[in-house]
Amino acid sequence: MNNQLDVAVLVALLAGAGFYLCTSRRLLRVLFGILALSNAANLVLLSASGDPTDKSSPVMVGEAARLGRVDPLPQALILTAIVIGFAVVAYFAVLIYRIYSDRRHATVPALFADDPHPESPAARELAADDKQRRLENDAERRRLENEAALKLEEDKLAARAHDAHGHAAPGKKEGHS
Amino acid sequence: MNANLLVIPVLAPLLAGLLCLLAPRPTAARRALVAATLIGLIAVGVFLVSHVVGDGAMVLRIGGWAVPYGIVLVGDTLSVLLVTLAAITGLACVLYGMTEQTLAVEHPLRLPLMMFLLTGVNLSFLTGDLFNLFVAFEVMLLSSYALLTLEARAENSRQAWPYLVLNLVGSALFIAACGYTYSLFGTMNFAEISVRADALVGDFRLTLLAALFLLVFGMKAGLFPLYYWLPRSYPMLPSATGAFFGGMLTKVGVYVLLRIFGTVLPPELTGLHQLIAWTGAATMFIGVLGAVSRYRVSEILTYHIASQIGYMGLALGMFTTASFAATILFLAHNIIVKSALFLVGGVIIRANGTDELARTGGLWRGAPWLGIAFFLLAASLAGLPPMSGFWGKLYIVQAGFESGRWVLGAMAAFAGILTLMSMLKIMLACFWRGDAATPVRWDGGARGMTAVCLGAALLSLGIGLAAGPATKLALHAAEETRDRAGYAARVLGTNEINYPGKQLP
Repeated sequence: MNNQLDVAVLVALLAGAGFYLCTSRRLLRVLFGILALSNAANLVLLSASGDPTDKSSPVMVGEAARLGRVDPLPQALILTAIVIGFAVVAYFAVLIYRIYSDRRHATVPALFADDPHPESPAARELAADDKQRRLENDAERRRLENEAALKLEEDKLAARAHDAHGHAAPGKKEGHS
Repeated sequence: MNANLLVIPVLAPLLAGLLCLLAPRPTAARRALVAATLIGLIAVGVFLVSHVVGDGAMVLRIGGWAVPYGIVLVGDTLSVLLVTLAAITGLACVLYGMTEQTLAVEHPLRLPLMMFLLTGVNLSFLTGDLFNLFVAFEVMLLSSYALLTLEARAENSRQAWPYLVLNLVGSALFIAACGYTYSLFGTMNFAEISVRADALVGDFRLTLLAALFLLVFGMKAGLFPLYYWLPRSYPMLPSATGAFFGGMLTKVGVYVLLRIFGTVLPPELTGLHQLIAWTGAATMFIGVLGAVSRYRVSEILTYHIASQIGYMGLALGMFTTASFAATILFLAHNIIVKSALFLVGGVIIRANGTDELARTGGLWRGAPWLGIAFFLLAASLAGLPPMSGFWGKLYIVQAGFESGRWVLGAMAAFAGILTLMSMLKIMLACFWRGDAATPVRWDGGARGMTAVCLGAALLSLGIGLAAGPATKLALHAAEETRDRAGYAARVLGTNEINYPGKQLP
């Protein structure tokens, strides 16, 4: 007698992979983990309808009516569970996008790095890194701004010199207005 | 009596929410509709309570299907009591939100989502079917996810992450638990499970299933090692919705634990009951210590949610009728007081511009009525007579001593002192300190908000003063919850033809 060992193995694999991915630092991997996990749960529900060997689908017409039938109720329940799971995953994807657009980070330690109470040394390190990076970015931006300003200044000076030159030679005036 | 009344607490908020969505912008008509729905729900709830206490539980077979095949709604005393309290809390939060925000600044989705949330909450309380409970939980959780991030600021949206991930894992486990239940009992109907579970007493599969239920609903309720999502996510909510979350959502988990362990599963699972009691005690202490260590009003209050859930778990785990009654009384008291305290926290933020204890102050002079409301509510939360919290805690401690669990009883009494200490922290920093960093801002909106808080405080005082009838009601609800045979007979007996409750092979 088949005791649905195959389903058990499949559920174990899916749930294991799902839990593993849920502990990941990356938000997107957690999303995949949740997907795997909810599918594992749906399979558990499906397995509740019993071993399908030598049984017909629960449609009672003709030849099939004489065979044993698979319990249809868990299949109806799964349909509900899948729809709900789909809605939740859609929300989850939007939340990941929202968090990313709010914080510009897509890993958990970086997200919570500047928490008032960073919990792990790694998080603290990341916070320090983050700060350092921000400072460097600031310095870089300031350098670029300065350069741009200098260049603008130079251009103006050059234009003025050119203007002065242009007044001396009125024939070329429209070339650099 | 027409059992169709039971469907109103589920349908009315759903319809109101949908109707709200028809108006794209917040309008006065929308607000009136929501307020009228909630007032109507309170009326229906009070009527149901008075009726159910006299005549026993009401059972509605939706679509007229015979009991184990269709969906049933069961309104016993505990369920309809909680439905009433949900409507009262919802009304307080919605009125508060209306006085806090003008129509121009109100988020157009806030009221509809609140209504959908209430739909899920009410369905969880009323359903008599495990899978329908799952659906109700998902309706509730999806609305709560949306509300959590709806008005969150950019630096706060990340705090929704742990809440969401943990709840999704919990939902997956819930589906799996549904599957195991169906394989084990061949039914999802609470009444039929309770009939069939008796044959499986002592079977490790039943214990395993019960442990899975404890894991799933302990997570939703915020019991000890599974509570950490709570203090992070709730303070990010605006105070009107945060009050409803803090007052109702975790309590739904406690209700389901009461229902599953009290009514559905056989009372022989003593090992798990011990586990609930001790994790409850741990939650109580860790929550209250967290509250003592925090310096923002909203964070202190959020840690107190965990702490109060601990009290309920502790009393539930003692598993006597007296301790169930104590849990139910405490649950009812806590729903009102906790959400009202969150509302007071919102007024503090409005008046002081912040709720960091270092920068608040001057409220006793600037807003004496708010001070009175807070004083009453804080005394109630800490368990001082004559407020409602006193009776809840008294019965919990008493139930502990009477059943010989001295350590648990003493712990419950001691945690009350720490609660008082953390409440005094808020009292001293916000109300009794003379000067604030910025002058107290006090306007018409704050006055309306204070009126709502004061109303809730008076309700708590009223429950405390009418402790006799309240205790009788809680005791009745506890007896009914623990009367498994009566529940099954009541639900299965509504069929026109007698369905022969099939025994397991």
